[in-house]
Amino acid sequence: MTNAPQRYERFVLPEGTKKVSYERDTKIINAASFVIEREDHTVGNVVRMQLHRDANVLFAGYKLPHPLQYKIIVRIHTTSQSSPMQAYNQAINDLDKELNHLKSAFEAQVEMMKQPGDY
Amino acid sequence: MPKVSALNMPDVPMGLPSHMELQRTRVSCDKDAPTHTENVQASGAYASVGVDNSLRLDQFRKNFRVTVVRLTEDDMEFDMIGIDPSIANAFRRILISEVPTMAIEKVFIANSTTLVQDEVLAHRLGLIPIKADPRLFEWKDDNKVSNEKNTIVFKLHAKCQRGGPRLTVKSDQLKWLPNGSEFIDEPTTATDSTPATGSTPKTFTNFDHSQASLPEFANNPIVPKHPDIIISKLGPGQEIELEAHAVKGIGKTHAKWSPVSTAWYRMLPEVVLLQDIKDELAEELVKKCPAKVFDIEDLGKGKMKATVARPRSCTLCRECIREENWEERVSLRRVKDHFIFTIESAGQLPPQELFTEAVKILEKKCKGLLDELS
Amino acid sequence: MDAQPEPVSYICGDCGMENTLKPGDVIQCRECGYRILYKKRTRRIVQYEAR
Repeated sequence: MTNAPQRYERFVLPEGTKKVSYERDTKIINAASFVIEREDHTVGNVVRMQLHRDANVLFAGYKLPHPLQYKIIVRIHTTSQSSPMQAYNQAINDLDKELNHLKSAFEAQVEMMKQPGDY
Repeated sequence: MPKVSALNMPDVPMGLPSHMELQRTRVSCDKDAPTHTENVQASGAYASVGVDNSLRLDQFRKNFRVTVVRLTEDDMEFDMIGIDPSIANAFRRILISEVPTMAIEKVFIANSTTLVQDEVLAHRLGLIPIKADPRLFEWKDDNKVSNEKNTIVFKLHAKCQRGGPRLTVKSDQLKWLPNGSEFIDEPTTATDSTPATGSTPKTFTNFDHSQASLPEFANNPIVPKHPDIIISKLGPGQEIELEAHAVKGIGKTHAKWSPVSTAWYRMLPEVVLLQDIKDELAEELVKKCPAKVFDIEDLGKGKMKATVARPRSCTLCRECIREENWEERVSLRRVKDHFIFTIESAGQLPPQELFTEAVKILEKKCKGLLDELS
Repeated sequence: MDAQPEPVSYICGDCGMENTLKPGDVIQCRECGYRILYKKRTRRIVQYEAR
């Protein structure tokens, strides 16, 4: 176990590393990869799902290249009406708003549960 | 005659045909295997039949619903309707491995003459849930000094008298030290031994003031969540004297920081009777089901009819459709966007707060994905 | 080697009695005559990771 990587390396971003880096595809227009450091399926699958809902996204997928490389790669291919960067930003902004709604709906329900007869 | 698209003709039904709608929204659990288990997320999946499958924010807001089914001190069940499995799974993953708690990480053993080896004892102490709100504490790096903001110190001193009966040491004997460590940190080498003249001797922590003076802990001392966890058993003459330091961490580093015993979800079971099931068959069906999903409705004059009374308790064991001809009478399905989420807290935080923390963590992750892109 | 060797305490394996021995002493419990003696645990604090 002496050469095992430290457990915190799975989620602590090393100094001088960018959280997200963007790389355009050289052969296909409107296609790009996003490398997201120190994330895994938790975020990857959610982002992939959110991108699929966008009508301008032709392809969206993510991969975890190796269990000991603590990063995911999200690949996006869009129509000419959009761009990978735009689709990515929009997906995450939408997701954020959905989560906000989900949180307030949940908190309201819990409040109701705590004091029955109050609604 | 003007040209009209086939999809706009008045006699062509709009939307998905019913069998496709069923495949889109339900998993059907057949006798041999579940079918239509996939989730259709692509926005253009049904473009050829003129149905837009994209989901916009306003639609999500309209369709999304939560209902709390059960809420107790450390256990809750609630339904989330109108979300994608990836979101439900993200919450499950975050609850298990990314919501922080406080757990014992360092154990300083001054004396232990029990049969339990020191490292085993330390490991056992680590797994004890500590009832302390992790949001009131800071993260502690390896190179940071332990202070009142990032460490909780417990003392354990137990001795079994000679000639007496054996003694069982339980978690309630862990005593919180709000003023920090009491053990003196002896310098290991003679060179850096600075004689502590006048000042208080150096201990393993560096507390500026007592944690008990904080309003959060004044009337609410920090204790292990359960008082009756067996730590060790002492024979006559044996003794344990140690200090345990708890810090903030997440389940990804070690399972002892996981705030839940388990957190899981399942899709809502849907049981449909495809034809009327009467009399003997009805009685047979009620008898078949080990989860007691079905009831009998008395129609009078000795006539009976089977009804689906408790579809939620269906475990999809498929016992009711195992025998011949029953698959035509009963259909077992799961609703793809209806999740029954259960959280069993380990006790550090109440379950409803764990879930809001999990949502906050996912929101923070989303922000992190955008922040450094420009 | 002027320093007088410090007497060391041992625990008897049979009766649990504390015995103080100097170099050259017979290894035997003064109380019960048992010949297996154990060294005492260090007084230093030992640190463990609770993992």
